[in-house]
Amino acid sequence: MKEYAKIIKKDWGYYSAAEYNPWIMYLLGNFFVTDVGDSIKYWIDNLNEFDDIYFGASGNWSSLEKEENGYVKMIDTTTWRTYEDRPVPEEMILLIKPAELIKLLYKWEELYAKKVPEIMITKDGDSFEMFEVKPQI
Amino acid sequence: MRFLALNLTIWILANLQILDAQQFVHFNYQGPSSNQNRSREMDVIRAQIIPNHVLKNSTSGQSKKANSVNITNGPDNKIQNQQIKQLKQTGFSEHATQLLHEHKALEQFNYGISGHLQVTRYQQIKEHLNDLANFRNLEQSSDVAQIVSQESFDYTLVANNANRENLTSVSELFLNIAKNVLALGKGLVVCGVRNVAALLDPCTYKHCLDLIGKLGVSIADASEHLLELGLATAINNQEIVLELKDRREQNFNHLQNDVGQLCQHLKQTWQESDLEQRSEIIGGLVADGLFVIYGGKINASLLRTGGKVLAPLSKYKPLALSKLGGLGREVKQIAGLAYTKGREYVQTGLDVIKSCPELAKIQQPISATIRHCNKKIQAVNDYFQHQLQKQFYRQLQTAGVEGPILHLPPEKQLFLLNDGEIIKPKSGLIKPNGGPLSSAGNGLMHPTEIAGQILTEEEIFAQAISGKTRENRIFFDHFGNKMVDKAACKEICRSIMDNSIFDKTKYPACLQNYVSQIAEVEKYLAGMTLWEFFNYASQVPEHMRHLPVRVDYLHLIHPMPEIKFIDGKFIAKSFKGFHLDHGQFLEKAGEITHEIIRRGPEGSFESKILLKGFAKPEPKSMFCPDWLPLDVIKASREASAHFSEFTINPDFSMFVKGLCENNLPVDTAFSSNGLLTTTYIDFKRVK
Repeated sequence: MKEYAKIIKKDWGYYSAAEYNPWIMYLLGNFFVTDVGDSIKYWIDNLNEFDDIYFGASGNWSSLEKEENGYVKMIDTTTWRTYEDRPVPEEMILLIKPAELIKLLYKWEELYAKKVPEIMITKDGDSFEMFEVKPQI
Repeated sequence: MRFLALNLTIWILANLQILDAQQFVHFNYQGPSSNQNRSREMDVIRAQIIPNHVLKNSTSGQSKKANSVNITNGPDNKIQNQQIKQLKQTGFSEHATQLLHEHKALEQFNYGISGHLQVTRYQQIKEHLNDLANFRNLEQSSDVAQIVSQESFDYTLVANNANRENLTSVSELFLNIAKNVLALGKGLVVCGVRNVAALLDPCTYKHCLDLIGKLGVSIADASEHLLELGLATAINNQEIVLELKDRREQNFNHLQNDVGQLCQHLKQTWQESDLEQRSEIIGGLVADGLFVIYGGKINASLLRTGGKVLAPLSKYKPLALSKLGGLGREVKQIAGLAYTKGREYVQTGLDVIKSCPELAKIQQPISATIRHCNKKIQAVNDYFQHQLQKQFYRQLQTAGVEGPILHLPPEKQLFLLNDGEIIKPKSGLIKPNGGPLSSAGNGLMHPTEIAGQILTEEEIFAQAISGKTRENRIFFDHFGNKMVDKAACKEICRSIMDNSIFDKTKYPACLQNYVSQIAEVEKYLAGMTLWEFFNYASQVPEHMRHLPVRVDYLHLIHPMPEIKFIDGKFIAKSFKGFHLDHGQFLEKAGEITHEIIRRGPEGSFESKILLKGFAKPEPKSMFCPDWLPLDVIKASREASAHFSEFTINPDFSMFVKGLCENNLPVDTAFSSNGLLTTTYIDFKRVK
């Protein structure tokens, strides 16, 4: 089964990363839900400067850092304090190519604007997809 | 003629004051008090404090020559003389009036009083001031006495001002602080003087030295056993006594008896002491601790017994202390206070209390307050230093710096920056005894020489870019361009380190702003468990439910810059945390600037925050600047108790999205050990 996160529109229109597998997909889903929302430009602008030595960005929930081999490292910053004396567990780090994340951000912008009821993010190796889940009739 | 005119002026002023006092008293006595007898009592007390008849009779304006605080020139001085006289007649001592005169506070203590509480408090203040002034006068040569006197006097002034405004409970609080500070000072000075005398004349401790000589151990080693054995004896724990006997086999009987008696005496004294007396004991113990630490080292060196230094307190028998129950805990705490940090520790605590007297309300006795404050400050220091150290080493390792430098003892972990590369200092720069080797005539100075002491690399780094001293600026100017690759980065480091992080490693102004508020949160939490915090939600893992809730205050109230070491350069890139700037403290200080994205409920707002010196802003949601940390924690708890999402992360940290009753959406995260790592308003869920 593909790795995925399902994002659902809740009560008054906010989104929630309701289902996921494994946890890093929750990390990605909650990144969109909690930190991105309608602030897409900030994240895209930052990712466009991935080659800059100053690259790095963080929101309330997550942060992006430059990782080796051209990956963006996404971690949950809210529990970073826990990791003072030890590295963040691998299963809590999402590695994603900047171009993939930019692609997802543009897609998110489109779906978020339309306020679709359900959004799915899938991961297959280094490849990520985001799409609207059509309600089954 | 002139003499007569001056006398007349004094007479008029004196009588005006009487009139004021009488009117004031009259006005109040017609009010709440209807009890005739009580009124009469109060009149008597009032008469003792402001003896009007004396004032009326003091028309000559001439001062006695014996009065050292009399001032003889000018009309203002005549008034002061009159005030001094009035105070003396009220019962203030010669030294007390002198003290008040020096601080230009004579007038503040001459005021109308009424009501039993105000009158009583005035008497207490007077007695304390007499005591304080006497202490200061007796211990003129002692720096400690002068410092403590000043501290105590400051609080006395506050107490008096509060009493003048008829805020008697506030006055009582500050008077108690003033008394405790004085008591602490007394203990410090009395024991300090005694110990200094002993140091100067080792014969005073001949008996003890003889014993130690027989035992063949250092003073320090013996000191440890003195405490162990003393406590064991005090609690009559024969098991420990026997154990100690076995360890030292012989010649302990005498010691045991002596020390046992001392400890028994201490125990009895402590139990019979009130708070003020206990403070005095603490002061004594601090001084004794200093004596043992420094005196012990000196004597150990003199006796050539191997130069053992005093073992840390942890070496003492916790068991023995625990047998003493509450007393043991207090002794342990006090002994810890005395032995671990000594005078500096106490002084720091006093400084903190002075800056935040509110703390004295919730932590008693004063030693507990000191520990509480120090704990907070220390936590911040540790945090920043640890963060810096962690990042430093991590980046060093990432940069592939050779291994051994990372494993040297701290005092040898020195580094030099040379064209962006980190290298070990040249051998021979440090003398064998650890002192810096002079490099006079050498164009390039070693950083340790600039600082005049051996520093660890993070200290060098911190000091170098803090710009706090001329020497450090020289260092920065010398090495700065090699540490950064862009002018902007230089500015980043300078501004961050100068005004933000590293200043706070010593005295976090930001935290000082918050310290009483943090105390309020601690009071509110008061051992609250994680399960209670979540209103006994079944989602809280069973093995975590008992954990006491703790708060990562710094993450909440201060941006945490991340410093990276990339390609041989230090770079400050992004920051984490920071969701409350109470009173816009950091904003007003110029540490941050906001670019408001949107405003939310309850005064909250989402903002792109630019940290001083940073190239780029970061989006954060901020609680209302009027909110206190306690408000934030209460909101976090309320939302957590009404959560809509409860996520348990792979490492058992928790992330919870909740809603306050007023629909404020608040996210909260806990680490797996019960630390509330962050809480913020989730603007994406705002209705």
